[in-house]
Amino acid sequence: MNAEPLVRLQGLAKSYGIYRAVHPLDLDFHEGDFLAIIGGRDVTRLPPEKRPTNMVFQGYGLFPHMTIRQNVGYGLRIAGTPRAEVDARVRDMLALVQMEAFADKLPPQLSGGQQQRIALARALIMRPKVLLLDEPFAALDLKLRQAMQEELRRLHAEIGGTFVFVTHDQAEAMLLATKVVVMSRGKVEQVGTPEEIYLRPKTHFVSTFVGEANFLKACRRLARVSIEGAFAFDDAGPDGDVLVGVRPEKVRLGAAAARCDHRFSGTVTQRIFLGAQVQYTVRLQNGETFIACLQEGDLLPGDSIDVGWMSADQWVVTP
Amino acid sequence: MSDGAPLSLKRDGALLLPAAAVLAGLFIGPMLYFLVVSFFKVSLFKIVPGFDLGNYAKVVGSYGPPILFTMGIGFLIASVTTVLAFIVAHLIWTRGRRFSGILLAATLLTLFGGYLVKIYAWRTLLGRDGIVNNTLVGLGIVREPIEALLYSPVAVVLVLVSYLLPFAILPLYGALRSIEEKTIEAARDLGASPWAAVRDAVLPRCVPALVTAFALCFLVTAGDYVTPRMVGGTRTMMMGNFIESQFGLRMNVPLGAAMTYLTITASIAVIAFVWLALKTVLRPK
Repeated sequence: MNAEPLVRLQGLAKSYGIYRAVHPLDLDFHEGDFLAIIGGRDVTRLPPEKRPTNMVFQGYGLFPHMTIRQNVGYGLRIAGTPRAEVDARVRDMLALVQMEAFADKLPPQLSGGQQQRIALARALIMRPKVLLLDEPFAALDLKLRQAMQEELRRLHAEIGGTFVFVTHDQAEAMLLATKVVVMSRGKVEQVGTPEEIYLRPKTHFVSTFVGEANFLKACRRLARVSIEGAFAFDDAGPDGDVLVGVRPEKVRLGAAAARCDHRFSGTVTQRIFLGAQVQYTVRLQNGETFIACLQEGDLLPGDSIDVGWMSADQWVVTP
Repeated sequence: MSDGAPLSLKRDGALLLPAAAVLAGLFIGPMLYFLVVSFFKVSLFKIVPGFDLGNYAKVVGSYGPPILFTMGIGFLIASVTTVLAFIVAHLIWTRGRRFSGILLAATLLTLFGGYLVKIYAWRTLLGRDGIVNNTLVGLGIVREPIEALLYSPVAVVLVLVSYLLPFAILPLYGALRSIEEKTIEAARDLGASPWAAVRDAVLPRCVPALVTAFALCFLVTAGDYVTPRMVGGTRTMMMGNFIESQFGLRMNVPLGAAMTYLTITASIAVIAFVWLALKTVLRPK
């Protein structure tokens, strides 16, 4: 991604009274990005009507007195597009979101998911360079939300373009985005691909915000991180207290731990069967608690067990 | 009803009976009585029953201009009031923020000043020795006080618009409150100018309220005979004044009733026209 960015945010900030909703931030979106912004607060506000961007609103914002056809065609009509072209593009767009049969209905006659598709169609028909989606699926139930997420992925693959998607649902961001911006208290915590966000979180907040994480207290001195009474490894960064993080599903137990880079011994304190996985809670020798998710296992509370993980699966953040 | 089910005429219809009785006894009954009477005749100050279209012929023949004038000034006053009321309600709705309650209360507060009090207040403002004329003369803008400020149709318009404004604001504000602001943002996002967003996303949803506000103002004006007498001068005669004189001084109730029914018919026609016009103009394309 060395190309010129399609959108560049530079020193963007937003305050409501004395409340700083967004601290000054710099952010680039590139053509074809599907960018998800999670956490924090609302960052996308209405752009001037002249900009080649369109928005899908939280709660849709459909015009209740216009038919679906009129809703979808509104932007084109305002722009003075000839009638025949409006009709043709509305037809195509309704076909794309599979809502042709509802063209002459009014929004209140549609279900939430159907209204959501119309809101999407109404924005997409403008062929925006950037499509802004402000928590578009927040009002939908889980099943419908998943179906719409699939739909949006399909649409993005089909028509391309840059989507900027605000959500509080981490799983949604991971599923949809090619690039994720994690925000907390109006500040950008990390920007990266879903893989980077999940496997290489840069802050404590990001570590816990996307998925579960185990942490071990450690100390860094002269670019070397050491866990008292256990092991040490090289990691560049300022001196001071740090945390070493590991995802529960990266933790190995028993014989598998023997081949790991880092090892502890501990005692199983809890076993929870989760269907696809079994989750163990292990008390380590130094008194800290670790969660491990395994595909299977017949360990029981009280069992003594080795706990281990690979260097590649850990990360270091400041507390 | 405590179960939240909507009212049904079959089950809950009995609840309507008291209101229906009041309406029938105090409104529909008298109106029907006068409808019948409008076909009677008067002979030597006595009402003679019969079926005679002469009253209507007389009204059409002799009172055409006052009916047209009444409809015209009613249309003007109701239109001006409705437009102003929409602007005020829209401002309170969009810009009012946390002051919207106070602003709305302020508009209602003016209702504490009675109808006649307001008329006298306007007379004090507009009269020959009124505040406006004194100021204009004092500033040397005019040499002589302007007589036409008071005792003219202009004064009738001013008085009635100022009096009716709060009544028109209420239904419009209620209608605006039910509109999601998001739909306006959506219209703007799709390229609508601020005015186009109001035209396409707001006004069509206010048609019932606009018609209500217009009808309210129009009917009060069309039936008014106090304001024209107090500030309208001798030449501003509206149908209310003629009807009142038939029921009063001239003791010709049948002619007064015929005047009433023609005025009502014309009023319904005007309101229906406004309703259709608004619906047609604001229909989404």
